[in-house]
Amino acid sequence: MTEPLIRVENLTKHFHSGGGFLGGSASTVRAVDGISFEVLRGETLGLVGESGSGKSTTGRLLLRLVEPTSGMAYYENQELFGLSASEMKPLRRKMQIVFQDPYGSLNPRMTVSNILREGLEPLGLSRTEEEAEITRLLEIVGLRSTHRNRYPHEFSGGQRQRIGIARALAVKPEFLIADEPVSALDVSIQAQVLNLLLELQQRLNLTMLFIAHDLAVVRHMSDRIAVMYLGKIVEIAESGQIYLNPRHPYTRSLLAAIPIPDPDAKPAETSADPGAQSVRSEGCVFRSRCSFATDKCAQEPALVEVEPGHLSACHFANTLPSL
Amino acid sequence: MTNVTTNLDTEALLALEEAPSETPFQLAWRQLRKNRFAVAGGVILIFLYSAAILANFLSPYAMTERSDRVYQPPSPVLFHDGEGHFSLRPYTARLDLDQSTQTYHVAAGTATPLQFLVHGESYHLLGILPLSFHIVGTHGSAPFHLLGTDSDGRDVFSRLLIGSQISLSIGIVAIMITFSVGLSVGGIAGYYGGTIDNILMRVCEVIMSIPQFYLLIALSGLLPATLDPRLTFLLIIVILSFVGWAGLARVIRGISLSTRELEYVQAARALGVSDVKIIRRHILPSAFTYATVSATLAIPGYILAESGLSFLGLGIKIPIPSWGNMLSAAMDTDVLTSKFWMLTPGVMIFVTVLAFNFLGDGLRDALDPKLRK
Amino acid sequence: MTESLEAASPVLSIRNLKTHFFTDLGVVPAVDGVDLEVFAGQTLGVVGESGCGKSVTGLSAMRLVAPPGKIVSGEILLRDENLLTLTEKEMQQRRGRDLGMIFQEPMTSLDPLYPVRDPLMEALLAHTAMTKQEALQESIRLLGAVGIPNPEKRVNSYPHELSGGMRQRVMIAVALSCKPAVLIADEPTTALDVTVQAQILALLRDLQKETGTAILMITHNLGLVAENCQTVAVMYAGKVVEKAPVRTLFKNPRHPYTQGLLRAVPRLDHPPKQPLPTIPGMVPNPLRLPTGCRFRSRCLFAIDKCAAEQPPLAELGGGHVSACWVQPEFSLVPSETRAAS
Repeated sequence: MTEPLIRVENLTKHFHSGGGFLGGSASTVRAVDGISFEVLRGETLGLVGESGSGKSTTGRLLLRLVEPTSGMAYYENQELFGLSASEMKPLRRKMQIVFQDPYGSLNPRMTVSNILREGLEPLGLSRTEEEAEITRLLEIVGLRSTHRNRYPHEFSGGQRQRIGIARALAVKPEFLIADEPVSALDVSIQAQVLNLLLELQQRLNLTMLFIAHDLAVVRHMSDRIAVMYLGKIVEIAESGQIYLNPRHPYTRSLLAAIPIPDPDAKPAETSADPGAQSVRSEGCVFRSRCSFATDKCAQEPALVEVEPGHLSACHFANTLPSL
Repeated sequence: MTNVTTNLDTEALLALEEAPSETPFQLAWRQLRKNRFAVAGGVILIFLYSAAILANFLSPYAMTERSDRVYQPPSPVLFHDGEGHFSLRPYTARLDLDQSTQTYHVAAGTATPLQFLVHGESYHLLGILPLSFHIVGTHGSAPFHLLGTDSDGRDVFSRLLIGSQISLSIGIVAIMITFSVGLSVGGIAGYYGGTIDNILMRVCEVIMSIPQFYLLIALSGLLPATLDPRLTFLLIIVILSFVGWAGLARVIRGISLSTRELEYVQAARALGVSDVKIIRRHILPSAFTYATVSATLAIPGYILAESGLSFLGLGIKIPIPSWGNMLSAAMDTDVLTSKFWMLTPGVMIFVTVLAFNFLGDGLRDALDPKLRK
Repeated sequence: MTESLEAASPVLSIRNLKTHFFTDLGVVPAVDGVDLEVFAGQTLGVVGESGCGKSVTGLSAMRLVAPPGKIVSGEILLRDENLLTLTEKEMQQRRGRDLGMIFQEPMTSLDPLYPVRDPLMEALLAHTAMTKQEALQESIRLLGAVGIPNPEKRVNSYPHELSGGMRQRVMIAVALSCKPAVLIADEPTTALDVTVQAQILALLRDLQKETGTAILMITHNLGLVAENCQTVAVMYAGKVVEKAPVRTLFKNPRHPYTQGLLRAVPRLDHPPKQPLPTIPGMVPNPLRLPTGCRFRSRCLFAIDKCAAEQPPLAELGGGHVSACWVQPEFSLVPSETRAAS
């Protein structure tokens, strides 16, 4: 069995809003609420969820772009959150991120080579070595080295996303977080970028955390999938299992809601009560929208193994009717 | 199929190669040039500032040189030699005061050719080059007052030029101070956020809550009347900047707050780029674009504030000319109705402020990426 | 959706519509000769990628194209009336009453300063003879009809008090308040979560059954089209390249672009971590469109004729048209149906 490269334990991030200088009432958003998972070396773990599920915050917490409220995260056996900024630096060369917005992720005032040079900076290369690296990086993401002196606004969305990927790969990371890397792209361009990520993962032996809201895309890219809902992981399983044998009512409603590009498939199902808001209540987070909920759900279910390698946080994980 | 794919991809990339490259600066420049008002504003400002720099050379008289020709109207510019013969070289003629009607009339037989590059009062061009040439002047009995004279018989045209040095530079210098203070305070508050942000912004709010013109007048009132004019000039700039930085700081803070959340800043942080480098490389440049626009639009405010103070006698003191204190001489109805040339400082202020606003609006449109799409 | 309805004449027909944008850099033919027809009780899907002209087509039908865009030629017939010949004032009366529209962004399409009853009552008071009291009652009824719980209370809510899905329901209520003959839905669920999207689409289907409204659904999501539309038009670079009944389009697409789009979507029932068949290259610059077929630079089937002559929409029978000289056969390599387990 492969070793975990990333191990997350009880990770929590609460955002406080309101309550300024002179006090006033503050409210707390539990963006990430005590989640634990592992990413094995060489695999892709998919993190899927709807807006507000905390999936993007999770990625940013791992890179310490956002500081956690509590919890631990390990890279190999190194705990990340206790490290000072300077101790964190060598680890930043091992963990990188690709962002969603191909327009916001590149500084419009910098040329492609300056953008990549920022990525290469930590390596302390000579000027000629840097130039050679820029050429190499552009080529592995399918761009030409003659594009190096151009500005982001001259590229299309898909090409910008390639530049973003090249920047992340500049430090030769082992672990890549892809945060909704294709959700802003058109279908035909999306396929090109997904293919590039798959190819790069194989070629560079990357471990990936692939974050997206589109379950079909996540499943296409991942070995295992963790499903998040309102800050909690409600289910983790191998990609095939999530699709064929979901063991959490939320995963099931997510699957049922995906429109299938086939007019013969049955139309997407709507989950339970349309009026139900995603409100946090005591007990199970999905309780207010769940059609299987009973009084027992007032007690929060733990994320437990329901079959080897398949975890679900539902009291009825084993008794849900099959799809 | 994969091979074909790669080939076609290459084709798309080659197409990009053929397209001419344009830096964001070139793009903005192209946008700006298309805006006729902005171009006009820019040309006017270049003209005005060049004139201010060369003021000593362009002005026929020294700014404090008095004569007994009080409120003389503009000297005539003639294209004949006074005897009916056409002349390409312009002539002027002496205006004499008719004591009974208190009006000036052209004195017969005083037509004098205008001389170019005449010797006159010596000065230092740009503060270093000692010269005594003036671009235009007369030898002989007819003085040349292109824009007439004021109550002390001083040449208005010369004073307008020298005054422009003060009035035009005050905005630039004040905005530079405002700019650096506002940019650093706003940048720091926005990037670090939290308590630092809270304290800095409350300070800004306190300053902004005091009625600005009152604060200006109160502070200027504290300046002793006997102060060296150059020191007065500097102190007025300091006062103007003190009142003005808070607004800019708040805006810059907002921009850096939102820039900080942009993904390219996050990407830099993920790469371990230091805070100082991130602020310098990513945050400030994006704030700078905006600040340039807002500075251009703020300069007229300073020019007007100086004029206002000087008009009230609290700014630059006579005999040192500024457009503001020159305009204050045009306060009474007699001057307003019959001595129109005394209003030229007002015209200059108007033109300058308008030119800055045209240029500022043009810059904003050219630099705003939202409008560019 | 009976046979008689299908045989009826279309409620909205767009004929040879050309909407061009006159930019500083040149003329962009955003919509370049588009023909579409929408029938009562039916949904026509318009799919394509960004910049293909699908949204501009929708805006043109509402005559809401803003400068530098301009409808250059064509006809937009609401039943028998050409909307392009109406005065702006006459057109205003058609909007809301005969033609409704819902947009992508439920966050910005409602004014945050007014409670939700305002846009609802505004539409009703403008286009019907209702009194204020009646309009308020009708607003409450409409909110209930779009599945908003507690409509008596919610009618006084402000937009920020509602979730994205609820706001889109309000927008649908506003758009359908005067029972328009045609509803133009421009990416109505793109900004919403997938579970909410399913609810909104089910709501639209139910309302359509009740009211018989013809829907023009503009989307980039092929899945939505498969589930919600009877007829589909695929747009590329300002032109309709293929149009067919939904089943035909998905099972037997004949235009290489449609085929490429269908293959490029990751599917739950395909083997994971395999390269997806992509459409190479990218959309041509609208200022420098190629001669002949606009898709040819990305097309695997392109022949010499494609560069020489623009292919017309060729009849393939059964309401299926495709603009291609080659009309290749299609197979979606792996199995297609959602595996039953």
